[in-house]
Amino acid sequence: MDLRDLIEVLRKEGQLVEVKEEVSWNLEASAYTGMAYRVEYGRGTALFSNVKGYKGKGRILGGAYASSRKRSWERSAIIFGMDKNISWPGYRNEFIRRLEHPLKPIVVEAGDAHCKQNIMMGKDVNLLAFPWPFIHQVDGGRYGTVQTHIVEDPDTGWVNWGNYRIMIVSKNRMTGLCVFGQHGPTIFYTKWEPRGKPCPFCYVVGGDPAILYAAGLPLPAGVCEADYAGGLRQEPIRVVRAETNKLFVPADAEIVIEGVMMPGERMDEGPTGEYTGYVHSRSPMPVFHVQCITYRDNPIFPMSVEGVSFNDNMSVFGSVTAGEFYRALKDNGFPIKEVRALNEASYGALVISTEVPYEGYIQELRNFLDSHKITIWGTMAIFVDADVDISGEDMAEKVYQELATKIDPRRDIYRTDNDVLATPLSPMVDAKGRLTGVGGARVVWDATTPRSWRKAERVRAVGMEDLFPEHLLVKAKDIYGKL
Amino acid sequence: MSEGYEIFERWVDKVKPEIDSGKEIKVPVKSLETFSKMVVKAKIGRSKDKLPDGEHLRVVNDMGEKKSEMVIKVLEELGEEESSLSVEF
Repeated sequence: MDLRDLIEVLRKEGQLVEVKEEVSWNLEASAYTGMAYRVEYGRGTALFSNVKGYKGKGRILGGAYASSRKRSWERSAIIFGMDKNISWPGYRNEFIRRLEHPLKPIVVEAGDAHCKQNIMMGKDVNLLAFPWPFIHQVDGGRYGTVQTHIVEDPDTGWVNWGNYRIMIVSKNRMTGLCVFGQHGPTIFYTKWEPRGKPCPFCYVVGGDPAILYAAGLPLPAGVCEADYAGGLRQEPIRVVRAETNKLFVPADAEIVIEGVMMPGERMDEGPTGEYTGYVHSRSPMPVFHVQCITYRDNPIFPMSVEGVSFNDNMSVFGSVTAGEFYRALKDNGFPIKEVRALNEASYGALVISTEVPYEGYIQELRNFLDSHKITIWGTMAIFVDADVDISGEDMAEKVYQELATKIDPRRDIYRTDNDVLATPLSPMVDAKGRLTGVGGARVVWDATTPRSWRKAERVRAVGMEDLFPEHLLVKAKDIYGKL
Repeated sequence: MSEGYEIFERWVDKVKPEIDSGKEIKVPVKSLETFSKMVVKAKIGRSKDKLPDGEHLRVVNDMGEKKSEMVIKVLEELGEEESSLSVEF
């Protein structure tokens, strides 16, 4: 599947509107997409096929990955060919099963690669020939919000694929958010830049939508996300050699930008609206010098309007974060029942329902949480008892109820004593932290029933299923049609 | 005339004396037409009176909030080599 196949699937599902009227890349496309998120309660997807000044030269696809807030995995299920009505546990199990079977990409010749339909090289390179959207009126420039950065570790040959925003600077230059701790930027900062060497890169827009999920996974160093994209798709991703460096790129990409990051060079990146719902300020970031652009005819630029709920990245990374952390906890023997990302908190809060099998268990769970890379995106975790069902669409209501009723502020709130790595996008870190990612902190709200309480001391829930007999629930359901 | 330009307040602060004395300066700006960025040789005035043939220059802080409006007369757009103004951490 590539982005064009996804468009056809969404069209058939009735989840895509094609806007054929002329729409400007300058705020209009993003305003309409943001409104589609709101009106469709998350599911809105709009294909802008007549972008002012770019008709036939490029299209913008807003909300390609967006789901509803309550069923944030629904669009992902469609993307991966699952039943769109699948439950969260069903989706999560299948997602994890596929991740456990990564598949190496297959290499195709340039003649078989859609992304090689057109090539701009050297002085002909012109990023402004494409309809990169100007998304928020505070933005420092036109942005790409849904693409994948590919870079190689010069010592080991490991190739990393990651998602980082890019800002178009001029015809042949870009900058982008390059955060220490994230693999791609860290390879540049610690391996290429200290040696004074230009770092070859590729930025890829489009291709199989599975790539975005794989590139967003908190995988360990040394493994390539392309293998996991293949696993998620259940067939290898097709890749082709880039024109100006030895990296491989998705053959079905809409556009591939090739070039070098120069050591010691920085320029103004940002500000821009981010997923937290706040503006991320200007900061000095590396410069990407573009040497070549390969692209499909009339390429499509997927766009997520960050900061507007409920958007693409929330749908993708909310489910990726929860699914991956569920797997990590299970692999390490924690008797957890469920993990969800609280989307009302921009997936910045993880909710974990768990047994509490022995004294000291909560401390162990907290330690594991602090040590896992995934928590860079969240400053908060909420633990609830295993019998609190957080797998459904009413997860948020249940979590708020647990928070409001079962937390003893003197006993159940834990915060990190030392700085932890945080996303520099977080509005809670200071100006220095926004550059370095250092200075984060984490809080755990433990709403589980204390292990030390005797059975007779434990509280009892009073939901419908808790207090009414089964036969009466069935009868009531018949009368009212639904519960 | 173009739509004008945008500049970060921090760059204006660095060249206050030159602005006040009407000298040529080298600053990074963003075109409000293409939204591309460039380093330009220019004169900046605090109002249209100071630079009658100048174009609109929006001055913003690091969060993109408009702080003031000034006027700019772009004398030359500099090439890529001269544009690589490294910014401070």
